[in-house]
Amino acid sequence: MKQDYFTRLALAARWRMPPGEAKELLADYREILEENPRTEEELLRELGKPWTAVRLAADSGAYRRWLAVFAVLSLCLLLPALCTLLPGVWWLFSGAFPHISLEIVLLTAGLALSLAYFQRQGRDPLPVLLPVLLGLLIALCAGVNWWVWRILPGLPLAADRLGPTAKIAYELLGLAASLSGIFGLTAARVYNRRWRALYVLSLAVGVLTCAVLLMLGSMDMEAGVIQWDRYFYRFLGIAAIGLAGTGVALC
Amino acid sequence: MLKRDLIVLCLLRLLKGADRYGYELMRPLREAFPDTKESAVYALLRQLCREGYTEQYQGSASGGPVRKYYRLTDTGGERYAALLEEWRRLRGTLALLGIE
Repeated sequence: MKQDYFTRLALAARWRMPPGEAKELLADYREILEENPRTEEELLRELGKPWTAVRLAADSGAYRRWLAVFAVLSLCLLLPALCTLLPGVWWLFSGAFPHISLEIVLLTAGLALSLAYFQRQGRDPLPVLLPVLLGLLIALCAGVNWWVWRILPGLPLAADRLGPTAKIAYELLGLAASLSGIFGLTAARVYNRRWRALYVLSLAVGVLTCAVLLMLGSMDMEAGVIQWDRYFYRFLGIAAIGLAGTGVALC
Repeated sequence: MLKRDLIVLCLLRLLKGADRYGYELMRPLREAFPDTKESAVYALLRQLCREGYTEQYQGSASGGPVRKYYRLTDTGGERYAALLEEWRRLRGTLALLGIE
């Protein structure tokens, strides 16, 4: 029973406090609980709920800074995923900044901030599940692109259904990337900083998806034919930055 | 003077007598303030460390296990004296009002 309380206390501490402080608090509580073992009910009564116990002990300024970082990183991740779902966001990407590639700005900002914020704290072993999820995400991204560009044109669909079907496939890919990115971000805070690699790869997949949707939704009739190489190099650049960033985040 | 200040006064008083480890500080305070959660007392102890009134070190007493000990700093001693003075003044005021 005590383990349950301590597990919740550990989760709360790792979410709310910087890693060093969380480790210190958990060591202190372990010592206090070893001196005077108690049941779960006694712990709740005498120490309070784990989240409350951590809130009382945590430095609120550091927690606010983390929330700000979390909000910025989430925004970098979610904006590309929402680009076709909300008209205002589509306008941000396609017309608001004609000389700036907003998706590249978001990729760079998210990558730089995530690498800078989650600093090394002693030895962080590579989580077993992380390479599996990274591989699955890469496979999903490759699979969706293969299906849209190789399989979909051969399906017996009316010509006017091809575009919307491809759009839905990319929207679902963007949604999956957002969910895995948020999971990676949370796990990087709570468990191990190496989980930031999942955030970085998800961000790159989300941004790549957004870039493809922007090309598909472009009203420039020449864009897809004459300027194809420009789009191709942009997609290649995003993929290269994403994979390189994932590699750095794994270190 | 709030209850929080009284708990701080007690923590500083305990540390004025001798260096103590966490549970040694928490146990008497739990008995003195039974309606206050231990997590709140621990939070005050951390705050005292953050503000430089106490400091911590790893140590052991007479061959016992290695624990984190707390000791009072010079500024902690000054804070203790100020809180004690405030407490005496408050007690005097209450006595004048017939509250013993």
